[in-house]
Amino acid sequence: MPTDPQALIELCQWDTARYFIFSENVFSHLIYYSHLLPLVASLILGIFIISSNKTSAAAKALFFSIIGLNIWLFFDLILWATEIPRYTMFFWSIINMVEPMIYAGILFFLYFFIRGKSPSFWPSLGLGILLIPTIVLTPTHYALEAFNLTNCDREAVEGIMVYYGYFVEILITIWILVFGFASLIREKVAEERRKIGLVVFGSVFLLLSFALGNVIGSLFVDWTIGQYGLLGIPVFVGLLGYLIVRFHAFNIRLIAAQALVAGVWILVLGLLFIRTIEVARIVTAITLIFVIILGIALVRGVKREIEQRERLEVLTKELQSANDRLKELDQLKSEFLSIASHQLRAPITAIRGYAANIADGTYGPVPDHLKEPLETVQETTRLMVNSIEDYLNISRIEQGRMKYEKSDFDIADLAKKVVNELTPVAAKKQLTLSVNAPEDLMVNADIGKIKQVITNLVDNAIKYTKEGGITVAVAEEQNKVRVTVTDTGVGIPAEEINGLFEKFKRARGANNVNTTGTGLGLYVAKQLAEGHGGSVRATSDGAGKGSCFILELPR
Amino acid sequence: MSPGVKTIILTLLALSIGATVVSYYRYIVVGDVPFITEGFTLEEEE
Repeated sequence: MPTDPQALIELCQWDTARYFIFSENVFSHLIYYSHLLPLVASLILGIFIISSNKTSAAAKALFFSIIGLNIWLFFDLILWATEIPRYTMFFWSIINMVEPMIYAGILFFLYFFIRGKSPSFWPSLGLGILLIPTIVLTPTHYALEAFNLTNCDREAVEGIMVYYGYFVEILITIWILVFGFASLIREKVAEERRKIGLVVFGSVFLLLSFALGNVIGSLFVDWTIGQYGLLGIPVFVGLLGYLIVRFHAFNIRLIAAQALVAGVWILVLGLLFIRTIEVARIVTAITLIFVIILGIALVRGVKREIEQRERLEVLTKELQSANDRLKELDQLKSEFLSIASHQLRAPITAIRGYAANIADGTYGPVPDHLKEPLETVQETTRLMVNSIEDYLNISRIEQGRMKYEKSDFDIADLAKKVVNELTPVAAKKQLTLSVNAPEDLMVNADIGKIKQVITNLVDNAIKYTKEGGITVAVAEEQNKVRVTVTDTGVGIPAEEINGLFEKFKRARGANNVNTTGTGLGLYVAKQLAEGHGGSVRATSDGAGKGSCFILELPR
Repeated sequence: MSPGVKTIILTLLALSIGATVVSYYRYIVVGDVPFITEGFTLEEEE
């Protein structure tokens, strides 16, 4: 008997490689299906998962683990199929290195999925240190001692480092189980608990289906049964992928449809290469299970989508009808407001006129004890006329029938008139009201509406100023005219400035300073200014620091 | 993921690539494969 290994290999009469590195020495064609189907299916699922969740750390960790699984599956297939000892040694050494890293990848995936972050630094460092010997000793005799030619076997004799690798895998599996149970116990929300339970179950069974070949093969010396375990890999990869997309709100139906189509293509294509009826039956059974599971998921998904769409259509119709009714009510409200305001305006104007005449002494001298009540009547009617004017303007704006009768007038003169009218009101509160305006500053606008805007701004300033005074300034700037109303009042917090010009909106605590405000004056002022192509805005250094309202109109 | 954990992962990946290259060189390029031939028998003959 020769002792030269090459001579002994020749004595074994192994078939030489026919397809790249695959020879006819495989113990069963089943290994092609048990390895290639999970490889292709899990790779497709992995690509779907990572392409649907590019930014998800959990998806990245799962994709990394799937790549590790694919390397393992492909290299393991070579071990079964090659007759070249040096290939066997190389690929065997690599699968032993990759195996614990797949476990670590799944552990990281679980951390990212459940906690949204990786394990902290020190546990990660511990895991890294545990993994280093399985990596750096890969090319040495500690990983693989020799190639066994006894009885023409085609296998490597594994060294101590392989058993150390199994030890690391068991440690990581215990870590996964402890982490999974701890997360389950800590979680109080039922939906979250279900999610955690499913993802831990899927991960552990993925690792089990992958290790099953080794476990059953080693325990029962039956390598055939172990091969079927590998077919579970795509099922559990699919489950984990489903969980990622399900709980990260991605489109699972699209992925299910794509996976179904791709899976059926691959499985049907696989049937073309099958020689024996037994294997054809196995692959057909797998195809059937695959089509049934994903088909049911898909049909249910489509059914749910149709139901949702129908419900949406009903809701849309209800909303449309409610919206029409609301528009109708809004129209009625505006019409009512308009009619009520018109009806109120005439008598109030009469009261105001007669009160002014009495105060002027048109009907004879006014007794001293009636002067104060008369002033109150005048002030109250002035406020009422102003409010009615605001209501009328709002109803006109909302009904789209606001008309601006524009003419050329002197806005500086108008500002002075407003200040004159409101000086008694300011004086009553012991506030100074001054105006700083040049002569003859002409604008083309609706004089009544602009008077309403300036009145509202000055009136507002008087209402919210307890002491000090109000200054009205009129100035020309480029192609604009600017009316600035500055007060020493309560001021406006920065976060409330933008909301001031909304309908019925009043600054926080406004009622503490003035109870007569309706929250309409500034809204109407803004609408009227914008109707002229201008604007109204407010500035303030903050609460208690006064404020400044600026009206700008084009010239 | 913290920079420390990222460094650990990258180190392990770099070591794996290095180990793969060395293993490839040893077994495939050099062909340094120790054989166990002691007690060699042909199964057909048994």
